Amino acid sequence: MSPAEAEYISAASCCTQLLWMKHQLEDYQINVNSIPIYCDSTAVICLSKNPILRSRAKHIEIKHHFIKDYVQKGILDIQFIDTEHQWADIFTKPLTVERFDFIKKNLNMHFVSD
Amino acid sequence: MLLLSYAVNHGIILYQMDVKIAFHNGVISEEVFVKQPPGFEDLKYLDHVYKLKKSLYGLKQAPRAWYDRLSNFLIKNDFKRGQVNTTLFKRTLEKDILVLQIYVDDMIFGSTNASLCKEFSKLMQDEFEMSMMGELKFFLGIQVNQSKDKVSVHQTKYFNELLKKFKFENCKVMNTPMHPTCTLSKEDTGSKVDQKLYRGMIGSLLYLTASRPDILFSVFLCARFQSDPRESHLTAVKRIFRYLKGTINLGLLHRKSFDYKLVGFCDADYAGDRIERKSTSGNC
Repeated sequence: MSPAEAEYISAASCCTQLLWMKHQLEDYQINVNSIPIYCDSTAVICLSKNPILRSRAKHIEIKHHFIKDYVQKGILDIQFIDTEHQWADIFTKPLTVERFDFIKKNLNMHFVSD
Repeated sequence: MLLLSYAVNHGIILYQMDVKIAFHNGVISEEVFVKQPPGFEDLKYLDHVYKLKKSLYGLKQAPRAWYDRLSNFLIKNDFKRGQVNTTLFKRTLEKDILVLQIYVDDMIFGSTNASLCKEFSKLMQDEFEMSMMGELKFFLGIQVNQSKDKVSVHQTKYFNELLKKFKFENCKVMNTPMHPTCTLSKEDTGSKVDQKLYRGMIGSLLYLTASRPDILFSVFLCARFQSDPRESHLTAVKRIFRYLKGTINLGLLHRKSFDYKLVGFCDADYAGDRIERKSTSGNC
């Protein structure tokens, strides 16, 4: 298990979630294509854009490689994002107050007045 | 959640209504017999049983019978069932659209045309015994505030009940749900705590994550220790409560935007934990 593999698997499972939401949106007659997935690992981006299975990545289970198909079809679009703007941070580790509040604001969390 | 963001983006106001004794409306296709209930015994034929014509609460097939009845009725009235989401129904009339989401006997519906809404509620009232509850405000413990170009979702009422239930009314407030350098482990030698209480707290918090993604990580982390909770784990859970107490009326806000899109973020923590995040908001 390498950090890249961990990121790759998380990208793949993010992909499954996005596809589910994409299908749900189709019920509302909204078609979305080239959904961006922001990832802070360049290794994952290269891995998912390269349709060839390299020997260095052969330890990753095949089921996670389906993300490549969707990237090739143009349904998903994996993009790089710097760690500063990686809002998924809030779901992976405990954060400091400043960072926590910053991400919270970006997640559209606001105080509701009754 | 998707329905809400869809509605706000199309300027639809959502209404809710509720079917009274929904399961009694279902028609069952199987032969089901029941014992003679007390008070309704037939003295002549004490060894006889009743055959059911309609479904009853507590029956295994009651939920399905109800769903079949409702969906058949809706499809007969020009509704289309969603392809993946089978509890979503919609009806298109030229340019207008009416969307309906059912949750057992509760329904949320909205339309681009107000007269379609009225027509629909009349249609339902003629067929079933309904109670019209008006604009969507409170659904499954989630409070919804709708206005013209934004909608917010929060669970203030639910959390206030939790505070009372677990007696946290007088606790001090924290500004994050978890300490940045906090590490919890399974091999803790601290004293054991009441598992029932711990599980109860986690369960209650899990439902709260519906509108509070900020506590998602800390709740799920604590949830991993449910089988053998120790003092340190309970302290972590209590801290989540103390954080929440300071931010009781925090909720998710959807704004109307012209650029409706789906965005995903993914990240992994190479300590064996991976969590990803998806977002469905049309802001920026």
